[in-house]
Amino acid sequence: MKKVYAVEELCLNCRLCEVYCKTAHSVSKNVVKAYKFENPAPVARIMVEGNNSHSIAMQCRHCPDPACVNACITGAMQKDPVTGIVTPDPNKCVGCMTCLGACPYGVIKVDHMAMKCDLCQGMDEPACVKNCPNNALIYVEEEEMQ
Amino acid sequence: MKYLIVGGSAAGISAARTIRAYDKSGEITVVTEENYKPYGRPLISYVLKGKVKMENTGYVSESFFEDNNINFVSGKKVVGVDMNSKTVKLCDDSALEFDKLLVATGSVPFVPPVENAEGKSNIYTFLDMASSEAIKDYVTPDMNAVVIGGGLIGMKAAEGLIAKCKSVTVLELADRILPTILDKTAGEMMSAHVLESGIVCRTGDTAVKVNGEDKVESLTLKSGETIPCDILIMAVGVRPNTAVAEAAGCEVNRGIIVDNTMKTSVDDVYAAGDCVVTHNILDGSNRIIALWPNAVEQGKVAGAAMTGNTIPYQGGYAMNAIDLFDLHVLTAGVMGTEEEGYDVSITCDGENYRRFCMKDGVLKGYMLIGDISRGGVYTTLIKRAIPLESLAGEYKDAPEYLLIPKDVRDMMIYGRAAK
Amino acid sequence: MRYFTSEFLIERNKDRCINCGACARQCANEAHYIDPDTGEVKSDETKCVDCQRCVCLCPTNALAIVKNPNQTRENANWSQQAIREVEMQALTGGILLSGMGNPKPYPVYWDKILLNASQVTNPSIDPLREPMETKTYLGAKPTQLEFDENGNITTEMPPMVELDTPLMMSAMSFGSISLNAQKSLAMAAKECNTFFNTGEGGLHKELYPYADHAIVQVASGRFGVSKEYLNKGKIIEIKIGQGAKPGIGGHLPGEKVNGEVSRTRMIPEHSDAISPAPHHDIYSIEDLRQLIFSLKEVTRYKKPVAVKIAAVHNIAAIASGAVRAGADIIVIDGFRGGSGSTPTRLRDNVGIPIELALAAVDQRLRDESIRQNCSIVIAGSVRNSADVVKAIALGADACYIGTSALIALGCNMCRTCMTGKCNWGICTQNPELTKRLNPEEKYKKVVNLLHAWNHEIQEMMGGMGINAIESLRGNRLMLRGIGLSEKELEILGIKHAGE
Repeated sequence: MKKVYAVEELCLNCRLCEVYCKTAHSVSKNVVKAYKFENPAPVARIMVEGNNSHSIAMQCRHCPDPACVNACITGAMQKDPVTGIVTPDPNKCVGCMTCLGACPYGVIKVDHMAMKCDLCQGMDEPACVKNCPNNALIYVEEEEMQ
Repeated sequence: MKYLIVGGSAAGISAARTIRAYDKSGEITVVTEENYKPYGRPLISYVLKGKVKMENTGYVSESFFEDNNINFVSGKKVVGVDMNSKTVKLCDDSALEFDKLLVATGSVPFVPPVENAEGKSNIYTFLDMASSEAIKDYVTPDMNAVVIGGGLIGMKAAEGLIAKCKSVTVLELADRILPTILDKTAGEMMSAHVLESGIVCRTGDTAVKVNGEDKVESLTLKSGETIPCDILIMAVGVRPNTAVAEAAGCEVNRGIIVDNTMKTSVDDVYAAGDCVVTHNILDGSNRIIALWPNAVEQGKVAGAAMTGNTIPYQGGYAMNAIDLFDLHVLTAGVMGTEEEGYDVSITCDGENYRRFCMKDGVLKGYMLIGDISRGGVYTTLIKRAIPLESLAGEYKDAPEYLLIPKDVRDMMIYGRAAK
Repeated sequence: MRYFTSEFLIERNKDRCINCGACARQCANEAHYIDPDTGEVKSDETKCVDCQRCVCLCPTNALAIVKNPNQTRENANWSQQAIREVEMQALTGGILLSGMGNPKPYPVYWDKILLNASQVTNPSIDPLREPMETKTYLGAKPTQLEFDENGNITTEMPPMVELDTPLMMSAMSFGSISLNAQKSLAMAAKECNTFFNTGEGGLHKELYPYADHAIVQVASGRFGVSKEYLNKGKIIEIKIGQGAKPGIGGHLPGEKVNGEVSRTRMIPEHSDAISPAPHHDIYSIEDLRQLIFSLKEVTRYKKPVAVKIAAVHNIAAIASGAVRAGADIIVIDGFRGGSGSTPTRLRDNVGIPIELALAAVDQRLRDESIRQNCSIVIAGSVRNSADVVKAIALGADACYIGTSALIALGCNMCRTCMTGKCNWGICTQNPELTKRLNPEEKYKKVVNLLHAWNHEIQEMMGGMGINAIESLRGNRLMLRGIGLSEKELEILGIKHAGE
């Protein structure tokens, strides 16, 4: 499957991926509105770690055998057998946070329900990749990176 | 090939799914004594609280059994196993044949003997949906509820009850609530936190006598006090449900004994989930690690083994997430003490409490209260036994994936060593 | 107390700012910061150099850098800049340093020259329908050709290099610019079949794959020069002078000489890399000849040797001497040429315009019948394809582009290259900043620029009815002056518009 890979040598710590991720997961899809007016506030599913010298953008790896899916107590977290994308079912998730502790990358956020990267389904490429000013995020087939 | 799975929860469903992935045509039957379709067991407290509706508790989709061509038998308890004819006998005297049998029967509540408790109608356990629904039907706003046992189940029961009755008292014999996952300081923090929402935790105390005729009316405590009780929840603990395994002749001690493919001592009989004894990768001990993610993993291993494929089971470790009235707790690994030879580091800042325990230069366990964000990174440190001295900086204040050495990171992300 | 006010103001539209802090994290000058008490992003305009990095990255277009309306009393003679410079020197006691090229309002002759186009009597050519050649060969050309009975050329040909377009990347050393910047230029040169120039910084190992498109420079400091280095490049360029600082050498401060720079320049880490004003072995044309032939000898006469000189008053005679000394290519760098750091007074006051220098050199070499012995390459503010066409018509074989290429890499001409804090990762060795320039992405912009200019060159040539750049070279009849004096027209060798 196609996944987002972060090239840490190129990551600038500008954290614009977080801004555009949050916007892509907002109702308005408008940066200013997403940050200033929306309630509940949308949540960025990508998070930049580190500082200007060394940073990396982290988001869900959509693992082949996801620890979060195994850990999910409600069956809400599922890996789509066709696309391979791991997403929680908002009707089933109770926000128990087990997935948060199970995720080996620590990239699931929980605010009343689990929130994580969904690879911006419906867009031709994820918002973080599209808006990275240094091409530090690339969206490629898994096989190409192995 | 006929596969029979006894138990329809985490391990059973996981095994059924795995068997179907390997064997497209084999006959799979899942039999459960419960009258429900598979549901997320830990959801029973959410159902009690009213946060989750029954229709949203399904662990698998409505069409799961149909889609995967799995025969699902509910409401029928297995009462016997005949290994000669390879059949199990159900409570209605019907029988099911099998070539491979999986025992995924989980655990049953452990009810301690309390004087005069026998036969009281308002005593409940809290482990399955039926008990949750029964409590929900019985409880009224003028009741004083008492929960015996301040562990994960007891505390979640208490949280579920508080909105529905006048008072909730938790009795915990240990010196703190949640004793298996929290230390004393953290336990006291949680007690104080739940007290804000009206739950009274009495630690170092338990009920020694039940007072009342047909129903429990009050409890006499070890401390000598008597407290009113209109509904009593027994949540002291669980014990593995090994009846089916024993009927099949499997070796059982504290739980069912299995090898690393989840095979029991009897050929063609496998076991997985809360009823089995497995290897704890952190301290090397063999014990029951009765947790959902482990059960799913074991079900997968067992399912593969039943179809002749091997995914060796590496062993498990404890990992618990619990929230009580929006204060989050995440713990994993062991809660070792300095007396046991662990290095312990604790930081406390308001409602944020972080405890780490280390041994041989690797993280063996953590306990986070309050801010638990990104805790999974710590789980990785534990699971992969990453030497702490190889980390790129201080890990205790905030978990960061970048702290992990690059070769490990590359292996995790790309499945190969660093370029 | 501060003696001068900030040059710019940072306007932050509070309705739009989302306090994401991207500006704060990206400003190496620390003109933006996150207030630790409130979490709000704020600005300190005294530190702003107007590089536009924050403006470009701001996800909500909340920022604008504007000229500070707070000015000293208007004075046509004592400009704000003039006053500021005096104050600065009074404060520091040092010489003023600047980056990029001469920004003063001297005449730009490119803008006073107009091109011709065909009408009726000679047909124009559509480059989309008909072949249009921009291929250029640099190096000495034979005066005559001899053939054997089968029609094969028997004349021994001097070494020449082929360019698909008459555009090359100016000398910018690794040290003055980042390796990522140089690599981007190298990648673009390779893709467009033209050349980049190592400057006086040696050839970093990472650029060896692009060595076939490298001009390797030998300057007064001789940094990074070895037999291997000389043989790696396609052209060797002796740098005598630079348009931005004629008559003086260079100084790369020790703090920029990190491990990679030190290895590439073959000097100790953190030592100042000082290029002397003159080459200490060149005090005459004869000395120059010795160096040229030493370099030819070491490369077995297989590579053209270029001599780069700054456009100064007696440029024509110097060029003539250099050609006679054996230079295969003469590079003339005009007084608007850029630099990573140069004394402001020299940059702004020394040298002459490239247009006049080029015309003078081409005319002189023709008059002396030695024009075919060399190619002429010009540098020093070639801003667009029309400048290129005019330069070629004035007699140039090819043009170096420096500033334009840097703009393609992201440069916004803030002219503070000498601070080493280039927010675009170009003129800096700070790894936090250099990584901002991703060569894989940015080289494509340089390629685009070269392609775009080449298309435009073809369009303009076609309009003139010319289908090969060879036919445009030195074709001054295609040029007319506008608003120029008799003397200027005479030096440029062109007629006035209307004539």
